[in-house]
Amino acid sequence: MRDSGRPEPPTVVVLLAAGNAHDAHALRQVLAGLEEEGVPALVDTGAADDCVALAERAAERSSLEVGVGIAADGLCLTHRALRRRPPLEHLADPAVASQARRLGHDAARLVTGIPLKLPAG
Amino acid sequence: MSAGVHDAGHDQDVGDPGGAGAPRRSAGLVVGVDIGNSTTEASAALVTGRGDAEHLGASLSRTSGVKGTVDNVAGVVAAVEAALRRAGHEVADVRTVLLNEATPVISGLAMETITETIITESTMIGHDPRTPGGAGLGVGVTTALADLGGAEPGSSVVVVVPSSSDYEDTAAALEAAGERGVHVAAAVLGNDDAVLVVNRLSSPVPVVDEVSRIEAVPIGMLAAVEVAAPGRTVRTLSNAYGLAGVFDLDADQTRTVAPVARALTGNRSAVVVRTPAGDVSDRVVAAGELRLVGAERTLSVDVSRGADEVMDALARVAPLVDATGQAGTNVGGMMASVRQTMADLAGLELDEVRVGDLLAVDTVVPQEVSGGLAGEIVLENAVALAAMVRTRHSGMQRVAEAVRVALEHRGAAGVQVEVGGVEAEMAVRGALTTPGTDTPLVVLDLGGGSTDAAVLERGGEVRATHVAGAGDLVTRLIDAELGLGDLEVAEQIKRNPLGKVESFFHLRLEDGTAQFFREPLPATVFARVVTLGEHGLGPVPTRHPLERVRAVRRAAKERVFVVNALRTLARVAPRGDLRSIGFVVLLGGSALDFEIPELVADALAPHGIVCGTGDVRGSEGPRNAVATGLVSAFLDRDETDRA
Repeated sequence: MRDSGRPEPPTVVVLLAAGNAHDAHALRQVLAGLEEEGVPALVDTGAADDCVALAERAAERSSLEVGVGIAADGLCLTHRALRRRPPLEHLADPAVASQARRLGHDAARLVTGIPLKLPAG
Repeated sequence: MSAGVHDAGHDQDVGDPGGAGAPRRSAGLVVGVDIGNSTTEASAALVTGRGDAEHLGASLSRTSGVKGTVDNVAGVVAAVEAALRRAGHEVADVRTVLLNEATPVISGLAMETITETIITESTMIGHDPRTPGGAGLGVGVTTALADLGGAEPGSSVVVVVPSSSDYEDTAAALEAAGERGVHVAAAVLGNDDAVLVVNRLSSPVPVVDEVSRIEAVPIGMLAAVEVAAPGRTVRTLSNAYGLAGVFDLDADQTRTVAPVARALTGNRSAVVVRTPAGDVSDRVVAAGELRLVGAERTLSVDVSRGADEVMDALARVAPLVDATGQAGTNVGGMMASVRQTMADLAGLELDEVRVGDLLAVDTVVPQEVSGGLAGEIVLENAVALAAMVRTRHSGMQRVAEAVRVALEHRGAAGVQVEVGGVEAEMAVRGALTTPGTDTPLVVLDLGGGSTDAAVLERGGEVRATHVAGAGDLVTRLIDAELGLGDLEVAEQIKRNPLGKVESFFHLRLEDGTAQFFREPLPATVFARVVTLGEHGLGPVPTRHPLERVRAVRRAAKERVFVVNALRTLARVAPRGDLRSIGFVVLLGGSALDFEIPELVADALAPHGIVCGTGDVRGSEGPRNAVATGLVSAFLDRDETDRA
């Protein structure tokens, strides 16, 4: 967190597991989804190594209350209002680019209030 | 009171329910049973020796099988048992069960589009993606991304990008071409990448994305791409003279592109490609003629002229004897499918089916444009037809015998089961128990397939009429106009108020109030328009805002129920004068609707009619009228016998 006296710009926070255990392609796709929907994101490393815990911490930190966690065990999207409840979306196989991209779109849509794409089926 | 029921406009005597021959009993438990299309209602009463009845209990259960068939027995027995149980009695106590003679109509529906928009040579792209990129107008020659290296410096190009290209590669290729002196005026993408590509360009250009058939975009043609700023719609490509300016068209050519401009109106983004024979045409489909056979004369009316002309012709041939569609046309197919449905339902031969009434309604239906590149949807005009057939035979005597056997089996030794009266007359009798009513009284039964009216005059005479079009048509109109393709969802929209989910914990109702939830709402309804049904929230799969869904719902109800209320009242009212009707009581499932009664009451108020939802015996609401009427008619007969 910065302490420059200026307010931090609103962002969806994306937290990665320490030690680069995340999938670089998945991160790129998530950020592309957020950018296409026009919602800014902040990427940082978090102190956890499972994606659900990372997503919950990210949502705590995000001024927009939306967090994404990316770790070796997959991708997770959640909202601060859903604390200690099942996360909104959990992808065990982030290798599927279109799935990670879709999760990025949904992260943005949680902020803008547009119906979610959600995993097929 | 003895009342012969005959049918307004048809002078068909449907019999005297108080006919002689049935054995009479004085005291005992009597249950009236009304078998409807979807529910079976029962009303139990204890008849005292003095010809009075003490009402004991009412019940409602699901109709088993098709109305008027022996399959109804299970539903009837369940309703009788429930009504008796509520009154503290056993099945063995029942002395008499009275069934209604069902309304002698069944109905069918069909809908056909009468205009069609066709894009030839991929002239335009107008699917309105959610996130186009850039802003402004770009004009150039369509060039495939792979061939961009060969574009001449100084030339203007519109780059066509296949779905296989990554957004960073696309942006890099566009930048490289720009550095070579090629004027990249705009781009068209297969993927949902427009914002991503534009964000990576040194000077933004308009970009339209999510073009599903990107490989079909014609290459080497002059094209224009326009993207409007957020919240605005395209200005140049939706204007015929704008197109003329862009493509340097003369007056004749401008006339031919006018439909393109019209098709793009209201979009935030659009692409127009100038091809040698490219065209967008909206033509009127030759829907065919409807032949209306009346008692005195026959008229043919072209369905593509719209519902008003059909209804005008119908009024001129009245009373209708039959209606057929011209063979080999859309309306021919429509009428054939309606007749087939009705023949199957009524167990009639196809050539025995006689259409007794029609309701035509104009509607607009979203349809995918043929020849479109990106699944473009335009609103086409359509006509919906509801038709009604009178059924001659009645299976009710057989049902009565089967019910008797079933009840005796359950211990009701010596029970009498009889067909106690005609539905319309029984409904009027039941409705008259609504506090505050008097004769002349009209019952409007707003059902699923037909709208039925019966008038009870001061002298006790009852006349009934049935017209096509009711709740099922409303559902079909909602389904078609919102492009849902799901009658279940349309039914939910018809029955329930709408809301818009605004967060995981609250939604905004259509009246502007909010509702809070303690548990988070599911992600499937997030930010969606939902129906507030008995079993929770149902998402409406549409991009339409709540206001539009609401407007479609209310308009559908008005075009069916208000129109039919006025049509039926004009038929049963003495001398066709609505002002001579004092009271209208609404009955039937749709009378329980949260807005139909007020829509009908508003429409009738100018005629000085008191109109409201029935409250049978002051306790049952619009339910149980026929069952109650059956018991009351039974009492009157009993009294007549003893007199």
